[in-house]
Amino acid sequence: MTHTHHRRGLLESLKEDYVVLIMSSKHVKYEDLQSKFKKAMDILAKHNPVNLGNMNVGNMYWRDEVDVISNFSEKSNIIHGVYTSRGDVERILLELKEADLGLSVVVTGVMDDVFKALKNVGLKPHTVNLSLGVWGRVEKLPREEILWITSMCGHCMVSPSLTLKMINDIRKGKTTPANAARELARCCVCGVFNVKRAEKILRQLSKTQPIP
Amino acid sequence: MVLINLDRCVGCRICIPYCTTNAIRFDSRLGKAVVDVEKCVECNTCVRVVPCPMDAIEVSPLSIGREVRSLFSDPVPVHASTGIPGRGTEEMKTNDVTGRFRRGEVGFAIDIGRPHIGLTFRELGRFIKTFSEIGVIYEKNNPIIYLMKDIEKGEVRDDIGDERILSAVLEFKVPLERVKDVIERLRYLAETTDTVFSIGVISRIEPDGTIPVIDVLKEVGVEVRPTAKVNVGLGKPLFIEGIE
Repeated sequence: MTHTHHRRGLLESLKEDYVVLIMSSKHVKYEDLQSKFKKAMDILAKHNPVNLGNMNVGNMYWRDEVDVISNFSEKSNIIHGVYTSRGDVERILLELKEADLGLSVVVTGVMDDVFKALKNVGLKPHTVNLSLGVWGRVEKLPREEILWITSMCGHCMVSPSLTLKMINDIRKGKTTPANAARELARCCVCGVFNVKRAEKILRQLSKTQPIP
Repeated sequence: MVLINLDRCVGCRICIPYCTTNAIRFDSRLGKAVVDVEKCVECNTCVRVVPCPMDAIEVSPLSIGREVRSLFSDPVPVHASTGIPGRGTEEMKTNDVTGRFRRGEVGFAIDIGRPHIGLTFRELGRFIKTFSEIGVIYEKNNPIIYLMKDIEKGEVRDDIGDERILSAVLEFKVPLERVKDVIERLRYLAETTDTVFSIGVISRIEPDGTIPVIDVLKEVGVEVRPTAKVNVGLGKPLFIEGIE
């Protein structure tokens, strides 16, 4: 999650990409943390997530989804849901606000859209982490279209080589964009990989010239 | 340490593209996949997700150097210093309850090595030295701090200097008026480093919705990308500046 704001892509594509993170702080003493997280996860799971993650377990494409949505620690937890529409994010925020769980909530997305969502549900943004992008030896990076996909796993667990293989496999008819996106999502342990957005990009890239 | 059991491997090459650092290659002499231990950062992606038909990917006990590689490359282990998985800290994600970043302060999260290029601890030390020279306030819970011999000089522990990792998040804060100094140092590092780094800039949002650091960044010609992480202020008890 440290890296979700560094996702790359065309603006219209980024506008279909929201990550909602909910976490406890080790500096706060909570009561009944497990049930708070169960409630929070129920809310995330209710509003059309394209991925769910639980740092104690993993993501829903690698682990059993039942474990992902129900296995929480009494000490500390970090959970994620990924969405493609602002409407879903607004409904989640509204329910989280009403549930008043006291957990910290962070939304990543196109900043103006996130601010609109907050305004629509009567919340005021507290703190922001802006992205200044990638600096340094950028010529060493994989080509931009590959980064559109791989940057959806901030920890860089989705390898450029696997992404390229998936594009070529789609092109050869060995897999579909949906299956390829799910295979890539398994690598992103935290579950912040936007499977629907990846599917769309993979479909698009598999129709263009082969990538060397 | 991640390795391929050569007695089991049948050379199908399924594992090769999954590697995050291209450390798995096909050895045509052996007819099997092998791991380049210098390139491997112990991220464990291959162990977790490769559908190896022979279960040939194995893990042997880690030396200290290999363990440090894993801690800064695999998002799963929990760092003793932070209490959370991943390479950073709670950062701004819990700022509503911790008050780590206050009005008039600007946080930086310099994610060195990401995306995909990686770095050595020695290179990390060079970044630290560059920022120590301008007196930034480091996040004391960041795991990096525990690996430094001398933070002012950017000297890392002798036993880990050459270890290669996927990334390290350097976290510090400065008063708003010092942001230009930090940008100057970042520009110098961009010119002289052998790796890449992603920059996050953290700020409280004013009651009227403005973000003062954006004007400062514009002034020095730095573009702010459209995507951001936003703490929505639902954490409790809410940290209130001035009465802590």
